[in-house]
Amino acid sequence: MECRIYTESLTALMDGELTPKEETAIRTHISGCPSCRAEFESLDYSYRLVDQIDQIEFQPASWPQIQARLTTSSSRGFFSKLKFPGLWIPIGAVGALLLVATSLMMQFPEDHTDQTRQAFQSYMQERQQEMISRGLIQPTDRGNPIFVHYNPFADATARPKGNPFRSER
Amino acid sequence: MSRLASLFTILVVSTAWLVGQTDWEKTRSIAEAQHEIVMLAIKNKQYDKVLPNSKKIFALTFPANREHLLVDHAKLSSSLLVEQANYPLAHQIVDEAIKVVHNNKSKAALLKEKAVICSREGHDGDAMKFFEQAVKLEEGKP
Repeated sequence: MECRIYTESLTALMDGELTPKEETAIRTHISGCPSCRAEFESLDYSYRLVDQIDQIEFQPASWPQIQARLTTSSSRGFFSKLKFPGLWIPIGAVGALLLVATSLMMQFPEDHTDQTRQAFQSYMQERQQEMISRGLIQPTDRGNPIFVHYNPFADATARPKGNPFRSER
Repeated sequence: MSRLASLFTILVVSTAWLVGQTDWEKTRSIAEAQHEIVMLAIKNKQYDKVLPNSKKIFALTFPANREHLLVDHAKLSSSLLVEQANYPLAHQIVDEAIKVVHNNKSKAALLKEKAVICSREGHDGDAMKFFEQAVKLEEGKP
């Protein structure tokens, strides 16, 4: 835990942003801690490498050119944006989702297929015809059928059509 | 001796048949009257009397070979209720019938009737669901 605090302050130490008291405390810790010392040496090496790089002289004349490039890059076309690798992640995710959804739909087809609907429609027609042929309903021009009523007590032996419990004698 | 035995067998069989016939005739007669009451109650829009009287029919013991009569009763009464747009009561009657029938053919016929009610109600999704259940039952699938 203590090492983590010191290693996090190493960059500040290199940049000379620490107070003398903090700097003394870190340097004391580094001298006694091999892992922090290794970290410090690695950072120190990186800083020395950076110092070796020649600084590019800034030319004020090139600034409008840089600004123009920055502005145009944001308004580039779709195909130019495709070059950006981060865009492929959401595209890949959407593609994978579509693939999964398609395979699921193929595995579990829609519950009520057209075939079932057609079968049901023909059943409805057959049912209507059966009820008419049995004399249970009479079709009318208005669409709503008339339900034929038979009184079973009027003629017990004649097997009235409208009552399913009619006498079978 | 053998002649006496045959005579006795004939006597026993015919008595059983007569008893069965009497029982059935009694059941049929009650059901016949109850069916008329149900149909009249629907026609007179006395809906509170429909289900109790229908239940009296469903409470009777019907032999397996007469079960189709219960289906017919449910179909007739529910069809009349559907014509009067009383869909909940139509469903209730068919549901009561489903509870008492035993063979798959009767159950399938009643499920198809529920599909018809749903269709007339405008609930096509439910209609297809019941119709598919009925077809599966007819095909012997669980």
